[in-house]
Formats: sequence, C-alpha cells, structure tokens
Amino acid sequence: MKPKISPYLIGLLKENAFYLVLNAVAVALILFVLWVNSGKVYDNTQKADRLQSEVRDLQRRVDLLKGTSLSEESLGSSVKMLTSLVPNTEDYFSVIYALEKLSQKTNFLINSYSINLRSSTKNKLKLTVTGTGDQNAFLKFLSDYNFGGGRLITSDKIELNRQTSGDIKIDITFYSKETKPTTNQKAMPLSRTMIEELAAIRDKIQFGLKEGTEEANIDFSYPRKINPF
Amino acid sequence: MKKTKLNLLTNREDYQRIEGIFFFVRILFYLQIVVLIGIVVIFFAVLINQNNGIGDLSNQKRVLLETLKNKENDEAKLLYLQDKYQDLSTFLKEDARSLPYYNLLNSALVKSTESAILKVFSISKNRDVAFTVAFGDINSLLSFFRFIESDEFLKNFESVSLKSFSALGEGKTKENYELAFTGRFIELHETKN
Repeated sequence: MKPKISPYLIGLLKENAFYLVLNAVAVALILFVLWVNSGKVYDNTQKADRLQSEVRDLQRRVDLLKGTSLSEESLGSSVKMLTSLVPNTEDYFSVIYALEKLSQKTNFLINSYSINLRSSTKNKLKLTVTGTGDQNAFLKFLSDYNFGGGRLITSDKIELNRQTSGDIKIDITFYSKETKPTTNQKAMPLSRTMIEELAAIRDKIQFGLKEGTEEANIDFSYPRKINPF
Repeated sequence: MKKTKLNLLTNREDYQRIEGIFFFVRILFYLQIVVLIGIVVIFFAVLINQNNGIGDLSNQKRVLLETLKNKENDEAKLLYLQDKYQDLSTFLKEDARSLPYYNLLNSALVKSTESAILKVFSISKNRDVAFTVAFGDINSLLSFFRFIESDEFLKNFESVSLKSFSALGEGKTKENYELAFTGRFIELHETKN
C-alpha cells in the first residue's frame, strides 16, 4: 500500500518548484564562478610572482651595472689583465715570456726550468726553476714573482739559504682556467677590496695592453631574452 | 499489513512548518543571487587589479631588458671579471707569501742584536717556518736568547721551538753559533705581495 501524500503538500511543491530549481542552478553557478575565477586568480598570482622575481633580478643586474665603480675602459683592461694572469687555456709561450720578464725585472737569472708533469694538473702547470742571483735579486724575485711576469705564479714552499752558492731551485706553479661569460650566475657588486687589489696588481705588472691578446678573442655574446613575454 | 511509517503531514502545524521551509527556499534564492553578484564583482575587481599589476611588471621587465641589451657586453665582462678574480684569489691561497714573513723575522732579529744573521729560511703555504740564525760571538747569542723569550719576538708566531743548537769552530775558539728553529707564523693580514 502506497503512503498517502497530502494534496496540499503537492500544491506547495508545484508552487515552489521554480525556486527549488533556481536555487539548485544558483548553487551550481556560484560553485562554477568560484572554481573558474579562483583558478584565474591563482594563475595570475603565480604569473605576477614569477614576473616580480624576474623584474627584481633584472633590476639588480641593471643597478649593478649602473653602480659599478669601474669605467667601461677600466673594466676592459681588468678583464685583459686577469685573462693574461690566468688564461683560459695554457699558453706555454706566455710561461716562457713570464719567466724571461721576471728574470729581467729582478736580476735573478733563470738558467733553466723543467715541467713537473707528475704534479701538474689540467689547471696547474708546475715547474722547477733553477736560477742564480745574489740575496737582493732573490728577495726582489720573491717580491715580484706573483704578478711580475704577467702570469700568476705561486710557490707553495720557499727556501732561502745564505750558505747556498750558485744555483737556487724554486718550485713554482702557473695557472690556467677556462671562464665562459654567462648570465646564469648572479653577479655580485664589485667590492672595494677587489677594485683596490685589481689596481694594485695592475701597478705591479705594469700592464701593457698588447694587441691580439687572448681577451680580444673572448666572445662576450650569449643568448639573451629580449621578448618579455 | 503492519504500518511502518507515520504520515506527519497530517496535522496543521506540520503544514505551517513546510510552508516556512518553502518560504526560506524563496528567500535563499534571492540571497544566492546577491552572493553570486558579490562574488562576480569581487573576482572582477581582483582580476582587474592583478592584470594591471601584471601589465606594469611586464612593462618594467621590457624596459629593463632593453637597458640590459644596451649593456650586454659590460655585464658579461663584469661576470667574467668576477669569475677570474675568484679563480685568482683561490689560486693565490696556494702561495707561501714568503717575503712579508721573511721581512718580519729579519726585522725582529735586527732588534735583538746587530750581529744575528738569518742563515736559512724556509716557509710553506701553511706558514710553517724553519729558520737558522747564526752569531759571531757569545754575547750576541746570549742577547738573542733573552730576546726570543720576549713577547716582541713570540707575538709573531703561533708556535715556535728551538730545534737545534750548534757551536762551530775548533777547540776553545768556538766563535760561530747557530740556532735552528721551527714553528708557525701568525697570519699576516695585508695586501698580497
């Protein structure tokens, strides 16, 4: 037996059926509007954050270039100087030239040199230099060997013996390392210390910009994004 | 047949309650329309605001990219310079930096006695030092002994110790004395030599 439904209730349902349907449509519409627009707001927020981060990075790069205390000319000469001190690839001619120059500059006569292949690596060329000279010449050599030859030279151990007469042997190291221009890394502002040290090195090596140095061949162009979109 | 349900709509109070519910349904519809309009307006405002912000940022980005394009070589050089300088600084750590330490020791010796001679001097990149000082007479040696125990001498070293002592010469006329030391210098913070 079917339960009885009051005719009055049926009348009320018919009377309000329109509102019941509209309510359901309105709920669906609200949910749809919320879903569609919150997605748009989320996408825009992500896009704005990404753009803000990019603009901040670009602004930092522009500020860095505007704020750098090195002139364009000074920047170029510093690049040439550092490329000469630490070339991108080992240049044996410049090793010979550096030793020759150092010898002339300090009066410490370098008679011979031999390459220590066993202890040399890709970026380090180790040599044993044999030379002669008095105390003053040797001290002058110690004072100038780092930069005086136009190549970076280090010696991890120095021995000075006044008893020694004749040849003095010194183990020295020349360096080379490839550096490629890139914007993937973040440039930092040039520190005052760095600028002062570069000036001091320049004074020490009395750097002359030779034509056709390696720096002239460095390609400073790299792919850049021009279209902001 | 057994009755399992009661028809509660059979009295008057229930009809009034049902009518109240349907009245609420009608009001709810209008409320939903207001809420929907409110949501649309709010989203419209938020999206307009966001789009304006994105437009501004895109313009800023375009201007900055154009500025950078004009200075692209300078920027590349700056990055290159920093890389090279970093390499240079790293490589320089391999250096013994002997001269400042040699001068430091020499000047300290001169303060002790005029006749002290630095005969052998050896230093590594870790500032480990070995040196031999020679004296022509016993008085200079005694004067130096007093000096090496003073703060003026010891302040230059993290550690220093006497390795050997030797007297050179023949019989009672030994007039050459040598002291050999080993130790480690304090780090000098100064411009690289």
